[in-house]
Amino acid sequence: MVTNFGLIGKISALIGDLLTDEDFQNLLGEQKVTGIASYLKNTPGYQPYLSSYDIELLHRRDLELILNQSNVDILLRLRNFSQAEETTVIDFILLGFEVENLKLVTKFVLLEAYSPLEEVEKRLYQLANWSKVDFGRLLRYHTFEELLSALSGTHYYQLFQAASSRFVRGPNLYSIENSLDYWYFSRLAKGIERFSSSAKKLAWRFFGIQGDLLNVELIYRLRFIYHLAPENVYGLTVPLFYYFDPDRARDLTNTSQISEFMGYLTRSPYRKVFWGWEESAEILDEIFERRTLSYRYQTAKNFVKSKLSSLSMLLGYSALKDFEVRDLITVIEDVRYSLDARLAERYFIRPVEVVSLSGS
Amino acid sequence: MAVERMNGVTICGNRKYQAEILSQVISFGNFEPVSWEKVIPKEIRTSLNQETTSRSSSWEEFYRLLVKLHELSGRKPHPRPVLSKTIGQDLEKFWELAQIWEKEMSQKLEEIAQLKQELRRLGYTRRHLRTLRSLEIEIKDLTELQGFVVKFGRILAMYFDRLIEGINDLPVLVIEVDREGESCWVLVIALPRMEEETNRILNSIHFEQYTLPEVILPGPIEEVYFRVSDQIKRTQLEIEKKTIELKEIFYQNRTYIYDLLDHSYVLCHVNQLLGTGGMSDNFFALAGWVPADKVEKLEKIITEHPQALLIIEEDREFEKTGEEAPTLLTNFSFFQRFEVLVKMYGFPNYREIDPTPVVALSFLFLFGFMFGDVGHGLVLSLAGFLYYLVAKSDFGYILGWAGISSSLFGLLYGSFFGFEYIISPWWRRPMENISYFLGVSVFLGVGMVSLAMILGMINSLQRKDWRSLILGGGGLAGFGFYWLAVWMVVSYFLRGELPAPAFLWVGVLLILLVLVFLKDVLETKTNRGEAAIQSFFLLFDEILRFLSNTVSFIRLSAFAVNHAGIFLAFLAISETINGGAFAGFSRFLVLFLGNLLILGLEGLVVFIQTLRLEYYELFSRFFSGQGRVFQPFRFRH
Repeated sequence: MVTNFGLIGKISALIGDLLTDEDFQNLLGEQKVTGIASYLKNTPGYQPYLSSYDIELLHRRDLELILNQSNVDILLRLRNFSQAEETTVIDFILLGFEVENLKLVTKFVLLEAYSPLEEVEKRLYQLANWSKVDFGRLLRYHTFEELLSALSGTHYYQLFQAASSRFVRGPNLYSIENSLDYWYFSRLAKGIERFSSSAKKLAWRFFGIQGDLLNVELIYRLRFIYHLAPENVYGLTVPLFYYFDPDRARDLTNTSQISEFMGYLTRSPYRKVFWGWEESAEILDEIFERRTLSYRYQTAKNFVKSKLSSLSMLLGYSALKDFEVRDLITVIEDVRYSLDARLAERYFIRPVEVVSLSGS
Repeated sequence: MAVERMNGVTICGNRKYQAEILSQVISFGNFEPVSWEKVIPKEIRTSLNQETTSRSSSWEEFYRLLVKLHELSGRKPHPRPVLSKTIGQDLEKFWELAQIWEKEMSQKLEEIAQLKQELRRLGYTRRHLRTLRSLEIEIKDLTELQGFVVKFGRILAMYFDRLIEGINDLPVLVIEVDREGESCWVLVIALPRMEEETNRILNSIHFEQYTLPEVILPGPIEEVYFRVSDQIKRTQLEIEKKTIELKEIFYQNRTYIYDLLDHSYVLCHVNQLLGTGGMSDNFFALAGWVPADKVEKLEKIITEHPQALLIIEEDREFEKTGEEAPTLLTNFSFFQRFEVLVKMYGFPNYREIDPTPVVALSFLFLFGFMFGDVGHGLVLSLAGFLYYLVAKSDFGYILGWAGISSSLFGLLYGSFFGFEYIISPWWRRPMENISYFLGVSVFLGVGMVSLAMILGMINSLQRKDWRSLILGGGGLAGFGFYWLAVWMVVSYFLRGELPAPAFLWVGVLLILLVLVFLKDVLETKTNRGEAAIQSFFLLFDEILRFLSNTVSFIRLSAFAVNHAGIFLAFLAISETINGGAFAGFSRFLVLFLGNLLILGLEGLVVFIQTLRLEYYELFSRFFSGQGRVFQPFRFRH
């Protein structure tokens, strides 16, 4: 794994553009969504994406879309400076966005235009020349067969073709979305395996933690909220195993009591996340909705500290930027619905204290 | 030979004539609509609303139906952008008429669809039977298997491992019967008491169970197989019959269908275009981009309609609304073929120089420099142009010219198929003047990096980005630093000392560095301390880039020498072959294969190295590649 100083320089500059805790405290003090947009327009990280917009005309939903799109744009830009495994990692993250686009398009086409086409089109991630799929065009189709033939020549064709008989009996969105996720994560896992040993170690630590925590949350919800049988649950986990390898993941799905499940987790390397749990819906929600993400946030922070590994910085930065946008959307929701700032604090991924704000 | 200048235009008109006006605008083919909400003044906008979606989608639906009628009748639809006068006058009648055809044809279509579904099901049955035949199991044995639950069906192949992991601890047998693309056919045999668990596992991986229809089960497997084949044939014939009935409806009404196709084709596009604009009960308004040299033509179209109005604005004025101008490249035919090299990296921004001519010339120069050989160049050129003629590929064209450049450099180096004594060099032989060529490469590097910086400065000028122009690492400060540093290094190597007074020049260098350092700091409005730290590291990166970008060009001479070196190796091998009846032929064979290897492998490596120099050392200095392609609204199927 060769250190790419050019990329390190670019990412260092981008890390400098990330919002600070003070920024988030200021944003929570805003009274209107336009105030948030205006504030962001004056920050170096978001100025390029908002400069061409008339803030007064900007709708909350549009602002969220611009923020989400900024994640894609930055990756496309960084791709020009990346090499070898860095490019592959960026490609995998972009592939995730492409898969999300495909899910959106499939849903739109198969549910026969559940909302205006223009609205759905705006929600597509713009992947420029990186993606070979013209999602705007796909949205204009009306049947699964048309969608299938338009995907010919892409890596989704065979997947959709194999699922086609299921669609003869009517749209089965859950099945196709689940298959797409499964396909994405298994492709990611196989891709990482082809990395050089040091890059593989880094990438597994990063994506593996993501896979583990995703699976843990999934098992928790399916087993203890929807009360699905263990045999059902294991099949639905994503094939990105790190500490919770297939055997351990099966052990987790086989637990029958929440105490047994949480006990297993508190004995795992992720014990910090699950420590001090109580059998209350509020605390369990807080653990699975926020603490798991906060743990990944902290991991990403550690990744960017390694100033000598461009891959490590790239992985860490991409996650930090994503978490920042998610937190910004929390702020937007909070301001839009005039909620107490403390509620936003509860859902923040980053550790932000808003006590000082309570008076404002 | 540049990025085409754009004008912003607003088209307003009476809705009564919208189809006539806008069909001509679409045929004009050089209007790219933009979102009207940003561009059209607020006071006009409030009196307009958007209500095109339902009408647009009904026309689209109608158009698709007509296309389908064509397809079912075995004809390819060729819609023309022509509004039908007959239909225009009596639209309601034709809608009704078309709805009757639609009803009749939909019924036929529905029947065909059902038959096709049946055909698909039968196809699976036949496949099922075929796969079971390979297992040498009788259907009766399988269905009457006592004490076991047997399931046959398919899953996505990627789930196969998950299935095996899932049943790992259960007394369940899974046999992979067949693979077909991403699908995997499996036979699952379980104990009845395990049926529930097995079903759950199979459901979680979206197992698609296949059950044989009872009616076809009786009899030996071969017999069942032929019965299903006959059923397939009958269903196919039934589909053909229904399709002919469908075609009859088409041919009875063909003239009208053609007219309707053309008409709905135009209206689909007109409504789509109107979807980007605004409308009131009486007026419509659209805004968009038009290449400046095409505006006059559009003006002529609009003035033909007294009910329409065209407002033309300069690009900068139009961009104030927040609409970034798109990019349209207009290069000479020769350079146009090289656009592919630029597009592989990105598309030029509207306020950016189109690098295609620079890329075309520098690519040919750098390729020729590294792969200078008269013979190899001619072969490459021939192969490239042939490929271009056959496949119409731009890469063939580029390779053809790269071969010519290679031949010209071959004359300068005196190299012909690797032999260095057949022709005398017009300049020098790289192999005999390695130090000289190394020096030349570095100076070429200085020249290319400087050229990239100048282009970058022109881009800053076009964007009116004064700070980057003056203080940027790629701006005047960076340029001054780079040339001063080059001059001092050259002086040191030539005279063994820095130019006097050294402290003065070193001082100037430091001042220029401070200017570059200040650029990012001044750009940051908040937290300048942090910005200063970042800027310091970026400055370090900038200096390293100056050095690495320049030194990177050493590869020019390295490959020029390498070219001769590889051939020498093959020549040496061929000279070791002495004696024997076929010595001459063997020597020729070694040299022939050597030349092939040089042409194929080295040619490819040099091609990649040239692209690398273009992208990493040059483009990164001046080209963002973040442009948006000009996409005019045109008639398309």
